[in-house]
Amino acid sequence: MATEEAKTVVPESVLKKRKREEQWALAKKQELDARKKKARENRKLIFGRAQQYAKEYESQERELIRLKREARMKGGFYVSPEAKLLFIIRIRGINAMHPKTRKILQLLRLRQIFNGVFLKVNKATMNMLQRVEPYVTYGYPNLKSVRELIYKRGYGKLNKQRIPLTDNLVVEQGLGKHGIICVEDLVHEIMTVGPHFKEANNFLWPFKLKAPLGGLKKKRNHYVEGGDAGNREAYINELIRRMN
Amino acid sequence: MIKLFSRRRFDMVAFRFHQYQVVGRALPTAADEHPKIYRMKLWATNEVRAKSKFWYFLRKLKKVKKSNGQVLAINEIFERKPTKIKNYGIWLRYQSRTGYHNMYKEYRDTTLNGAVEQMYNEMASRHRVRHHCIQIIKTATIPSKLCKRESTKQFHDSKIKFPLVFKKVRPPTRKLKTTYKASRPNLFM
Repeated sequence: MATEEAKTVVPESVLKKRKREEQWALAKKQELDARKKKARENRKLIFGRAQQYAKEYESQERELIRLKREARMKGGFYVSPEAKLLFIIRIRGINAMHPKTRKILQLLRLRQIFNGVFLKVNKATMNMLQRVEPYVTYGYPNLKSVRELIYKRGYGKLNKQRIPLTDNLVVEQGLGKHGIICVEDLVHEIMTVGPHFKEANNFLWPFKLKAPLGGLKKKRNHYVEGGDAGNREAYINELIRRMN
Repeated sequence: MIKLFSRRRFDMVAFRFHQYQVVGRALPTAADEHPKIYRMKLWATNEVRAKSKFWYFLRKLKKVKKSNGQVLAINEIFERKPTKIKNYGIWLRYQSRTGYHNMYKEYRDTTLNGAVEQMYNEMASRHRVRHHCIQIIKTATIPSKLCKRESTKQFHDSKIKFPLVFKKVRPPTRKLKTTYKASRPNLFM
């Protein structure tokens, strides 16, 4: 006990250090409180968004059914719009490849066998796919596929590093400036090829899938002739289930 | 030749070939605002292959390709009366080692898909023709009078009788079903 009488000499550096530590502790507490508050607000925001997305997905499905029924009643056809989103999986190895197709696969970030990426559909990408068709299989993923892939095998590119998407903070750090602050936002952006699809897709490291349980039918042939390569439209989902 | 037990019948759902109706047309262009719409019924294992087959045939008949056309609708066609036994006649065109031939075959089955599957199996076994070398021209249900093949006509007998030559020994409950049994079964009727 340092009383007035028994005055121990406290070195000035210790006093300074104590003061500094107080300040740091205070700053830390403030920061922690601010972060907690922000996280709580974020949580509400994320929940609201997730609800809105769930409604959106459901209404999209019902809309499709309604339009088809309407067309059939009138004796016409409802042609649903072509898919905007593709999921590509590389199914062949790296040996003996033409340099041009090798380059295209590199551009698509498919450098390893059973790597998968999402891709927006437009004339440019479709032409690229045409060149590499014998080496990949692709199709139209549904919501469950997109969700499962991102939740189970989603990794983000932060500072050129492959960081697992364990927390919404990772997503926020990577894509916060585009308004994507949680994994559900990311799923929504990918699924409904949104305005920031390019950034969101690039943020996602290419998916490293396992070899498909139950096997592939015949890599060397196109899907249409009994094999595996090329466009298999909705049946990509079944393959993703086996490879995820 | 009388063929008993000529068809393996486990046709719960596992048809390999499904019948699809594919409707398509060329894409509208400046020259032709409302191109003609074509419909085709074909057999394929799934819808993706059905669409591809559709373009294959349509290319041979009209000047249109998948790149300048669109599929308007693809629906699976199911059997109307899958419990009624019918005689199916199938006209086909197939490629053998030496050239193309036409054929007419008859099958007795409950569903058209079943008959088509029988046809593919038979062509593969009897003539070594794989399924991608076979084109189905036409199928029809044939009334019994007009059947031409002995092997289907032999069943057109309302008082048909044939002996069961051996007894199928089954365990009384599925629980007692095993791969190996201690003694051989007695198949005597």
